[in-house]
Amino acid sequence: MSSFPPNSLLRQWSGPMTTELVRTPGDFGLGQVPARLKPETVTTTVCGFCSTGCGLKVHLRDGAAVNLTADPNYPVNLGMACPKGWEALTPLAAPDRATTPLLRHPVTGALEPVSWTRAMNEFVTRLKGIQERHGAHSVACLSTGQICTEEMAFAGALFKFGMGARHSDSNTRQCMATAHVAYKQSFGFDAPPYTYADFEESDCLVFIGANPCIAHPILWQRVLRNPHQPELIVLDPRRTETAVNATLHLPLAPKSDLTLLYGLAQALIARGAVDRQFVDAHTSGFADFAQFVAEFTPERACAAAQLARADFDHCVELIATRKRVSFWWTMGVNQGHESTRTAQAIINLALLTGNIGRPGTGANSITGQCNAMGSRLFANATSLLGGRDFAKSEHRETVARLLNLPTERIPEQNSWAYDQIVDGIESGAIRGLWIIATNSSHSWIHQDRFNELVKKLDFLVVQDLYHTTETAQRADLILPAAGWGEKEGTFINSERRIGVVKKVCRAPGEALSDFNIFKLVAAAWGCSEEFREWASPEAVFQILKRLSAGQPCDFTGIRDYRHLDAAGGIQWPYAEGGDAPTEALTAGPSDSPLPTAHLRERRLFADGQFYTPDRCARFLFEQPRSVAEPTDAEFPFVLLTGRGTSAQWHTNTRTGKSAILRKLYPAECYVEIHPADALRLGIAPHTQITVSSRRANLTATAFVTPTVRPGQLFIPMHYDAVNRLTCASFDPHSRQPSYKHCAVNVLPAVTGGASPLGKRLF
Amino acid sequence: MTLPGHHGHPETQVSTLIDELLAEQRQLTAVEKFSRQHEHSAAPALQAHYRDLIPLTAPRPGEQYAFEVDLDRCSGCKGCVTACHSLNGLDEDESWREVGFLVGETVVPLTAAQAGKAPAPADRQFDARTFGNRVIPLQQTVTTACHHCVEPACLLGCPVLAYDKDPVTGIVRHLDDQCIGCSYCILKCPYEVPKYSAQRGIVRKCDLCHGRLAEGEAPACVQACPNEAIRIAWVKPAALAARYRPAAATHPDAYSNPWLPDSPDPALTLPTTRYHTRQPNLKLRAADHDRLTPQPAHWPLVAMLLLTQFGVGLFLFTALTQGRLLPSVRTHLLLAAWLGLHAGLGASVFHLGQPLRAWRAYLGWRTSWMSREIITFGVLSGLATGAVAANLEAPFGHWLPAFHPFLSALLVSLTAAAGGLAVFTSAMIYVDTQRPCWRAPDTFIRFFGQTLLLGSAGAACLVGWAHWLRGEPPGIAVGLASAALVVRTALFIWERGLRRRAAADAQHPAHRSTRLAQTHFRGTLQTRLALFGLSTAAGLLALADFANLGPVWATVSFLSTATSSVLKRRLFFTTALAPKMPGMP
Repeated sequence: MSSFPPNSLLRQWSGPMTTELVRTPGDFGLGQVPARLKPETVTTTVCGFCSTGCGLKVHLRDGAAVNLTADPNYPVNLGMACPKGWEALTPLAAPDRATTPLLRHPVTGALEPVSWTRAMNEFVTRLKGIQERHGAHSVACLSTGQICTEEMAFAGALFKFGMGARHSDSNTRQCMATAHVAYKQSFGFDAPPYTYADFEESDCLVFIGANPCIAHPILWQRVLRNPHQPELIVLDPRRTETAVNATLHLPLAPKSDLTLLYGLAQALIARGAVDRQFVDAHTSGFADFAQFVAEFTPERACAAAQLARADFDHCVELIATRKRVSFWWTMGVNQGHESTRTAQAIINLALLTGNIGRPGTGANSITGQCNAMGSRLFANATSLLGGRDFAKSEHRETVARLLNLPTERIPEQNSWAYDQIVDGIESGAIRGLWIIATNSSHSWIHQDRFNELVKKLDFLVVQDLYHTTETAQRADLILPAAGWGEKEGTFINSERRIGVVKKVCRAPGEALSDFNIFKLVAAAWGCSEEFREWASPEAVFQILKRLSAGQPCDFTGIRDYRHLDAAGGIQWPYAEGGDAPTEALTAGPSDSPLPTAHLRERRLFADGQFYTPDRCARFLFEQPRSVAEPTDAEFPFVLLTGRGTSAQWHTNTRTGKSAILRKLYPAECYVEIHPADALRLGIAPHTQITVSSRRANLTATAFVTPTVRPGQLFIPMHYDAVNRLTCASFDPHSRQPSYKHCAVNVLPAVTGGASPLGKRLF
Repeated sequence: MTLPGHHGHPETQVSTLIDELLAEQRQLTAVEKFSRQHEHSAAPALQAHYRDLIPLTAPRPGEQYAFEVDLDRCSGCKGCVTACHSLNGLDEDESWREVGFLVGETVVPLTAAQAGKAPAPADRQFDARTFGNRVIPLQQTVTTACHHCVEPACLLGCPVLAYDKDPVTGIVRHLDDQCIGCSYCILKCPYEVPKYSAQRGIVRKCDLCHGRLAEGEAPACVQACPNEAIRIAWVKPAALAARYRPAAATHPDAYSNPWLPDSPDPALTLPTTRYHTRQPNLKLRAADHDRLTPQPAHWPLVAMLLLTQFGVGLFLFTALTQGRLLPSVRTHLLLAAWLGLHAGLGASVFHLGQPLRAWRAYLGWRTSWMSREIITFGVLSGLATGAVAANLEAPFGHWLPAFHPFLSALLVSLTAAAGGLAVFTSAMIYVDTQRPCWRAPDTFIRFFGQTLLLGSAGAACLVGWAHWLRGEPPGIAVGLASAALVVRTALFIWERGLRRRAAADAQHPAHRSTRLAQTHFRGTLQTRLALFGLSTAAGLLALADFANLGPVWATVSFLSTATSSVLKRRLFFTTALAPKMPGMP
């Protein structure tokens, strides 16, 4: 079929232009591929955008990547990918990659290329100078959830044990700190208990502040594969893509979540939906909790959340009666002013109904960045390597012994959190800052303040792929980093699966992997001897195994990268000699992922044994508090922020480099506003409006849509102006910024109005 | 590798290490370090995933392949767009699939459980207007590609037969090596499917991955959808015609489109893609429904239309007045007309991406108004050349045999008639796109009005100068200038009336185009108003005293008319909005 006749004088059925699009069998299980990109071989790797951790099949020619498809054999994504994954290679070829170190010229103020030798010399001289003048702790580091675990561990160990500094944090503070603290306090360890198969096993899924349709499309794929016709309950102020697909959407008022969740707990307890056996055997603090939530009546919860009582009751009914209820939360919860208690209110619901440790259950945090989970365990920032505590001497001793370091090298106090480091710049306590693979000048809450404060720094080093990020443009020194795909290492995804990242592209110019930059810094700083064993990412992986031994995250059973690669990633815990669910697969994945998928999926707490000293999960709770900036007459709207589309990643430094991804989202900042508000304020669709907060204002296009409720506005976080508006308030336990609530006002933008004459004539 | 030892100068150590690390960074290790576990499998690994999403065999007679989209499963991840791009090896910014966005509300009756309880006053979901039923806000993403229409507008409009609809599969394919890059298919297709590549000088479009289907593989988008929202099905073209073109004529508004809300009328081309949803009572509008986006100006076409219409207009007025023209003046008029016409034809070449292939442009004459226009202009060019040759006067006439005056006059008249036909075909090119702002009456008035206006104003100017230089009285120039004045005023009044009606009436076909002009091209409208005043005033001044400064005023009037015409023709293209597939906010 469809084969064209031969060319004639009048009709060119084929020719050079037609040939450009010819497809040919690609082998390697790929099906047809573009003939000009036919691979010589393929290899697998894990995606470097979000925490879903999809497997990608990289098409190689001459050892280098020429194209990419989703990996059909990887247990996470089963051959599917979102646009970011499909386009993962494109941002590497961007023209604004940093290809040499750049140093700000003291006279001209311009960033000028310098050699690595000079860059290292500046790095060491300037930072050591600051430490000599202002103390060792006056130099801070802000790292990332976007680099490999081995690199994070190296950065954290080098910074604290080598350079003698104390204050380092990561951009995971902005996304996952809450889940980390909530789990740690409730379960005794930062341990998301689930496996992605739970999406398919539930008969009732409750999504709280989560929009997987566009934030985690591959997880939504797993929801749609669920054969049990599950109820889908969505708690979200907006009618999101996910809410549209819900069987019950509760459009709660912004930041009424804690009260609502306590109300649900009260109603569940009142109707006798408590799993007494489980609660008595495996939890502590239930009686206090039950007493505490008694006052959170349905009336109070519905009033606070502005919900219909019928919907509330229906939600309670579903949670009480369904057999396998799973609770899923993400940034809508984590980025709140009382987010830790909110996350724990979700955990409490799972605990009291006994929905944990069984297939299709759990209180499950969907993580953000590709290696947020690696950062939480090994960044050595606010917790000591391997999920340990700096403040505990036995932990310090263990780590010192495992790393062959003197114990004194390990700080006895915890690091400041991100916001405290920023405050430290203001107070003068922090004078030098090293920012690694994050774009604080765009993403940090109350952005203008941050960007004013960095001017106070004596020295700002930015280590990034691009010299054009908002943060890099403010740096004194830019260190050019190789990106995902240009280096190797491992990531840990949301379901605790460790996956391998491979080197399939050559970094441009003199860009070096973050790992090698740290190695270079160690040598230049004069502490390479302490890091003699940290020779390569895979060598560090062996160190990390050692550090994990005996911890809940023990993965000493993983031999090496090849083992991980062959098994399709391995979830922790996987202790040496212990449960080995992946052994069946080490011979290599079969062509059909389905029959063996269950062997590669594991969840925690099947035995009801948690990581607390008494092995019981804790009910933790606290009185709800008011938001930092309630709406008032002057600023009557609540501003919500969040993901715009699945084609955008955070501050868009990478996704903005792909022409095809750029076609998938509006180029200019837009604001979602309800038609009733637009009508009242005289705002016509697609006209320019000004949104102002107490801190700044921005102009954007009005997108008039009923999916946002009256009195609320939504702006995607990817546009750089949005965090000029946000209000810097933080959860007291996790110190995570509250991006989901600030008070703003909105008006039509002032433009040159049409003259009366013009109106009459036209 | 190992770190340098203790000995040696630290800076030397660092330099050596830098060299080592830079060298190491160049080494790609994925192939050597990891086992090649995937090399054995030859069959597509995703076959199990898409086996049920494509038909097992080619369509039966009376059927064709079509995309089938389950809107309830499309969650807006847009993986289909990027998969199409990557799996088909398209250009950096090229994909044959797009994802749009519908928003709105749906009315859902209360369930029995809900009905018993009064809604809380704070609950904004309940609306008295819906008698206690629930108004639920809704959003829906829509994945869309080529619809492989039963009556593909692109194919029917293509002047060189660069489209082919496969008789068995119904797939509409584009012949990249046949395409001349005229972009007419872009104007014809209501769904914005063909996309022009400036780098290649041709358009490209979705081919339904015909080669994949032939081998039992799914198209790229079908393979890549995590939610199995896109599948390939068979459809019966006859059934589509019955569904979308019911006997009783209906005029679907955005909400009642039988195909997809707020989208082009499917009766135009009979798109084969089917959109399914179980959502009841959809009241949806495209997220970009109110967005007024300026369209490309197509400068070569602006020049082509104005110059050919100027040329035809001059031929027309020469034909009408030839008995009363001095022979030498007639020669100059005809030469000017010939030059205008051929400059216009020359300008049109700049609109083509592949002009060397354009000699085949007559091939589509059976269905394409562009082919018909090209043929007509070819005949016109011949006649015009003949007319000029037959009317040559000294100093040009010496080299040619003398023509019989009747033959000369006949040739001029025939040229004028052919010119009228050519302007008609030009107008039909735009009328045939079915764009509401380019409806037949409006386009004919615009094009013929322009022909008369430029012809009369130009002729008045040329004749005026010719007589003035010879010291003759203005003669027929006065009549021509008067004609220009009348035509200009009539066109002005008509245009203003149209704009007023269109602006006031949201249902008017030209409403959105007019709004676009009034919001984005206010300056252009104001300039044109000023130019109208100037050209009218100059025309009146010319009439008042033609013997004296008449030619100067006629020239001012003509030049301001011509400038205004350029702006007007540019607006013709830039405000040519048409119903389209739903887009992004």
